[in-house]
Amino acid sequence: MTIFNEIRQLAQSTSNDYLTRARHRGHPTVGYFCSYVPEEMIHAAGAVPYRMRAVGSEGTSLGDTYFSSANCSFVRRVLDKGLRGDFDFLDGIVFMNGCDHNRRLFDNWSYAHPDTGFNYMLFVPHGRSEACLAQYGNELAKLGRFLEERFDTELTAEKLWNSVALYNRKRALLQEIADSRRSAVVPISGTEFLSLMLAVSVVPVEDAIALLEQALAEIRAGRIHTEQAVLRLFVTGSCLEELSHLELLESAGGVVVADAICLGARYFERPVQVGRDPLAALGERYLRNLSCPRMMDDVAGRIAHVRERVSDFGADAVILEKLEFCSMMSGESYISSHELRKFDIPSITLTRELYGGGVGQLKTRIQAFYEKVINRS
Amino acid sequence: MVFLLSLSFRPHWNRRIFCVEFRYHMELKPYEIIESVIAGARLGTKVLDRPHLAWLGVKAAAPLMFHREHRLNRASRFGFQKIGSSRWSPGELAAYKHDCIATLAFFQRVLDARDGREPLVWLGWPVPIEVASGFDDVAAFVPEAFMAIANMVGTDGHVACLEAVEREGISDDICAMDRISLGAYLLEQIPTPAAIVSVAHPCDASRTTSQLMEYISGAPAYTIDTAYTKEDADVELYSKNLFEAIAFLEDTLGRKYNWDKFRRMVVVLNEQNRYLNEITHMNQSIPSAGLSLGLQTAWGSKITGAGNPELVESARAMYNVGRFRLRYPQLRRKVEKFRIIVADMPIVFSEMSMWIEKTFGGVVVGDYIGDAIFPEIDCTSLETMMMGVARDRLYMGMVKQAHGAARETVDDLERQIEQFSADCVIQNGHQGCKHNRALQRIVKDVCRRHDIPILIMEADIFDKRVMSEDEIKRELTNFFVANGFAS
Repeated sequence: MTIFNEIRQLAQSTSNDYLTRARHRGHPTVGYFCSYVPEEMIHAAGAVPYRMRAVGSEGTSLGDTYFSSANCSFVRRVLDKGLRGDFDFLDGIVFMNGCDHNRRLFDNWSYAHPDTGFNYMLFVPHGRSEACLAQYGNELAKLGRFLEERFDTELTAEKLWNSVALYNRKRALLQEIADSRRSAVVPISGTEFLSLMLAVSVVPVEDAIALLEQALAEIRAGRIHTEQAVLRLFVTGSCLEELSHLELLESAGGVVVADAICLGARYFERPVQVGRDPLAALGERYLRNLSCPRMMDDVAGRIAHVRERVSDFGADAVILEKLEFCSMMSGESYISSHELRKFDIPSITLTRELYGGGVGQLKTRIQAFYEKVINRS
Repeated sequence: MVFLLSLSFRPHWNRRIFCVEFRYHMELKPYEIIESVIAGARLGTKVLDRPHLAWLGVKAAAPLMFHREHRLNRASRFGFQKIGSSRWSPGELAAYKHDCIATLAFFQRVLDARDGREPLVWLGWPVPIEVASGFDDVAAFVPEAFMAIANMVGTDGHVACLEAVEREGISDDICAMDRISLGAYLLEQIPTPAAIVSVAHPCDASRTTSQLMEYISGAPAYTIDTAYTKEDADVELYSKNLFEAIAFLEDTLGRKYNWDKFRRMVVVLNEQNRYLNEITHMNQSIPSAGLSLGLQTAWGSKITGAGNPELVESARAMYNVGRFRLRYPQLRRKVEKFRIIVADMPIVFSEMSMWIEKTFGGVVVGDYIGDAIFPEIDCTSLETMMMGVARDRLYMGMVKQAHGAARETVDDLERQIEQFSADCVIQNGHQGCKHNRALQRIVKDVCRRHDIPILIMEADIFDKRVMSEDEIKRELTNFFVANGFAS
């Protein structure tokens, strides 16, 4: 089995052998949501951070008994999986107030109480100012105290710096793989890259590094995904974890060369700066990294990032991904599409349900958009 | 106002006839809504000066206005509902006169700002208005006020604003209240601001709309970040942000903030809050004082006019009505057959509480918006005052329940059910409140524990196109009949 086959298998599974082996070595598994939860803190407490996802979800019927039809399909599917026992291997979950749906996921999870250990809510400010950074620092300190108590350990600076070094290594490897897509001959598709992201966010960081090194070695050895002249795409937006969706985008004649999604650049861009107080360094990196639309004071920064990456990676068009009922992305996609138009960068907003239907309709829209982009040049 | 009549043909094949459907398209002149509000407030100030006469006039108009909207009342029914749908007493109408005076002053200043007399600052609705109105020469405006005033040009006013946003391609996932304010700006109903102060609560819709407003207007902005709870440390953070917001406005506008004015406004706010808290208590008595609609009005007035002495007068007059009713409970006993807690009334396009009261004898005793439990503000120093203002706004209806964890909503509902001796709970299921919609199971279980029925609809309290007034009435009727409140 090639490394990319193993990665694909990991990406499509809820649990895996790496987690089981880590558990046998005495490392519990702690789920977390969103890119604003520092995995380093969970790792330094002796646990394995596990990025929550709806992979393998078979429906929303149990989730729908808590959420309404006006709530997004991600939280309904994840809760549904939780209630079916899919996450029973977890020893706890760190939630975050990423959006209204997500903060209520914490409330409903706590109320329904599936067998997933503790529930902790990390409150993250909605801005990047000094006051917000100080507030986020306080929240990280609270999280630290909670983890110390929960796992009967001490989050020393040494442990935290050690974790930071490992996660920085993981980020650097991901960055290098992502950057390999700058070239005209693309070595790895967007679907494969998303598989990689899904896989390395649910295994211990040490194993993730080993997997990434193998993947990178294969890329360095001259792996080629496509040599054909296809549309190069930049993808941004809210929650996106469906391989099938990226396959749809790429099978219609495109290849995703860069992104600004949570399971993508938002995860690995910019390392934690070593040398200061570890919590301060983590706070700085996580709060001021490439932001998502929940951060109210960085819309210009996000647009600038998209423009910069589109230029760097030679992208022909931007796909703005939005889940149904996502208010945050509704505003963001309006602003983004208007700003991109000013710079003559074509874009399209695709609204979808997570693992939802309507594939034919989406495909028609995508094809029509590609034709429009191709015909303009 | 210009109504363009268009015809559309829709075939009804089963009847083998063609049906002709008349539809209004409303085109608004720039600032028409605010000008209508000013005209209405001016009229209200004059007419309500003689509340008994006004009461007779409203009673006389009731047969034409009360039950449903039609061609003859489309332009004025919204105003009729805002003054109690002919169910208010002369005392309540007299109280409302002060709201009219405050409204007039607020909106007149916005038009003055449009004409260049002073800079205009937009504030997100949960931002304490004192942040801007503490300046002597700055006009404050709250764009979300349009959810309450858009229909002053007729009951399609809010639809005109929503359609403007839809034409722009902005998704309807965003709460209709926020889309109405965006639409009002797109339709040139609001002057462009010199600065914006927004706040990171209570919901995603307000967060994203703040960013949209900043983007569309191009004005410099400051965002107040608020924490998740009402604990002291979080209130302190909010308070620090308020000081920073004022400093931002001083820098941006090149004007000095008047701290003496701020102190005076806080004293007035304290006084208004005392009355509002008392009135809320009065609604808890059996029979209740029946003043929940007045409290809802006070909620809206406070957003735009906190610190205005006229609002104290309004609250005092309402309080006196309540005292009278508690002294003579037999008067309300005839009216009150059962007691209702309402989470979210369709406040934009219809006033349901008076219809429920008249039709079924159900009295809305408490709701998420008007319910007042404001803590006293400590006026010993500027810092304590700012802490008090921050805490005050965290206890405002909608913010109180919508920010933070579910327990903020659940505890509040349980408290209301117990304190108001509620017989049932109604939620319109507002489409924009994703956080509230996400709690439907928990809220149902709360009602089950208290052994009272709950109705959760699929309406939108700011958009009549989602569920019309007639459909809402039909659902309410079925619910009351099914649960034995009506036959």
